[in-house]
Amino acid sequence: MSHFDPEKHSCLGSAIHSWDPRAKIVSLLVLIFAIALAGSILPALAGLCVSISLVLISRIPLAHVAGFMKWPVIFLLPLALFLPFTTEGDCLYSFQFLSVSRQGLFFSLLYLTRGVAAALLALLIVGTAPFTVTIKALQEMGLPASLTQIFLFAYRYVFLLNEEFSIMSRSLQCKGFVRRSDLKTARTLAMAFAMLLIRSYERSLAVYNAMLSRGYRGDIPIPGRNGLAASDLFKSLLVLGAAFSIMAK
Amino acid sequence: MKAIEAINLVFSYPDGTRALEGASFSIDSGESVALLGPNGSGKSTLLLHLNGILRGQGTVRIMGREITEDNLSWVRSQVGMVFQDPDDQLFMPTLEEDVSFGPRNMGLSEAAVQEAVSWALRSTGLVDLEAKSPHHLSFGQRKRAAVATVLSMRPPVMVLDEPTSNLDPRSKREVATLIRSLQEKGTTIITATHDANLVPYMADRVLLLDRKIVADGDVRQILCRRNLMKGLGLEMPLLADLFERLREEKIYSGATPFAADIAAKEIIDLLK
Ligand SMILES: Nc1ncnc2c1ncn2[C@@H]1O[C@H](COP(=O)(O)OP(=O)(O)OP(=O)(O)O)[C@@H](O)[C@H]1O
Ligand SMILES: [Mg+2]
Repeated sequence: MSHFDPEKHSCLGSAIHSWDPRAKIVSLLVLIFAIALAGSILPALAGLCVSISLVLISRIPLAHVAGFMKWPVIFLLPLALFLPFTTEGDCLYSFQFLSVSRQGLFFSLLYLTRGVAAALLALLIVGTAPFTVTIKALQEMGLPASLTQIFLFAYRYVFLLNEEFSIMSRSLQCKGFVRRSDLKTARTLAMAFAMLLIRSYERSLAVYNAMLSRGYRGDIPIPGRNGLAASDLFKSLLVLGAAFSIMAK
Repeated sequence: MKAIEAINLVFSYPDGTRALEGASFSIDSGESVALLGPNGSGKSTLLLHLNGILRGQGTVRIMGREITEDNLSWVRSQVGMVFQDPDDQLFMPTLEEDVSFGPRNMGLSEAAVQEAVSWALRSTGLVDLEAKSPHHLSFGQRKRAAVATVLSMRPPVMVLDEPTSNLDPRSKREVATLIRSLQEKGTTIITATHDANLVPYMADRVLLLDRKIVADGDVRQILCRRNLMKGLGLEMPLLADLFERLREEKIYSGATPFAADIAAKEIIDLLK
């Protein structure tokens, strides 16, 4: 399977990894918020620098970071390319009917910086602790238990569906199925999709039975954690300090 | 004491398939029993009755207590169930969390949980993989992981549905040895399997199932009966097949060996 696994480097030993997940989530969310609100380019760039430094501190391999950033960048880029041409303002450069405005360029740059910085921080939140630890931290901060379980199993099911789907398409190929744009293809795909739903329904029933067999009575046991240490607070203070100075600009 | 008692189990799936037609048997505490039967003979269906996941007509008693709606959670603390398909069994993000799921539900202390988990992982040869996601393990590893998730709960009764299918030869042997060592510690075990060669290594008694129990007896008594086994489309263990042929030819008259070293000795004696 070639899918991206955000947890792949969740067990490294960096300062970010050892940060208490509750303190980490709150501080990084505040920082994301501060960067998202930055109204001018300098604080946004400062935010980007802070994000990049944090990623470097976390020691997550850059290839992994690039694999993750691919998606937000694909999502951000079209808009960032459009903005300079479509925003009205002082003309910087014009070519036939296209003209680049200074305000447009400014917005585009601001938008890209903020987006990339926020995505990097998001990677730090999900990528520096095992998924259950993050979820458990959210639960401790007040997320309802039913929601935590939905997250937990949704996460498991994304992989499961992905796997069932690739198994199914592999077996379709082995049986000589070629995708065309005709009715037969549509029929086959529709049936495969319906089978996928039925299979995942029956699978979830079986998994539920397995959970009952192992004493499941409505909540997922995740081990507890100790209180915050001084180092956790110190790291949070640093990040929150950065967040507030970005906001103050 | 009887650990498991099943009386006249009848079960049909919603689509009308009749999977069990009056299966009855009982298993004493501390016994290890193999459940043999061709594909579709109802092995998995039968096993799912033993901790109340499926309930049709008939009665199941665990440690003398009949399974009812009210004692299901007690029953499940007594009967550990390893499913045929490991993907049904593994659902937590990491192997370690999956294996600790049961013990944590039982309310054990964190130290006891850790001890149970590391013992279960060691027993199944998965120690190095505890941090991995179960969905990234190989099929054979997932199969062993499924066993570990139940092992960690140390239930007095274990129900294993084809724990050795798709395993490499060494892992098969290890699972058989594990079953034996659990039995020595007093666990009652019932194992559905197609590995006739492995049965003598893990069980003392065999149940043959074809929607009902068609034969029940000592391993030697059942596995050496060619007509019975052949009638169900099952294979005899290779050595049993060979020595029964020699017996039919009136060349051999001793006890049927199941292990290669004993068989070799018998053959050398015959050649002398
Ligand atoms: N969910 C289901 N719905 C309908 N029929 C089913 C279902 N599961 C099993 N069956 C049918 O019930 C019968 C017994 O199935 P079961 O899985 O118990 O057999 P088995 O002895 O475990 O076979 P195998 O050796 O292949 O694992 C089969 O005929 C099968 O087709
Ligand atoms: Mg089966």
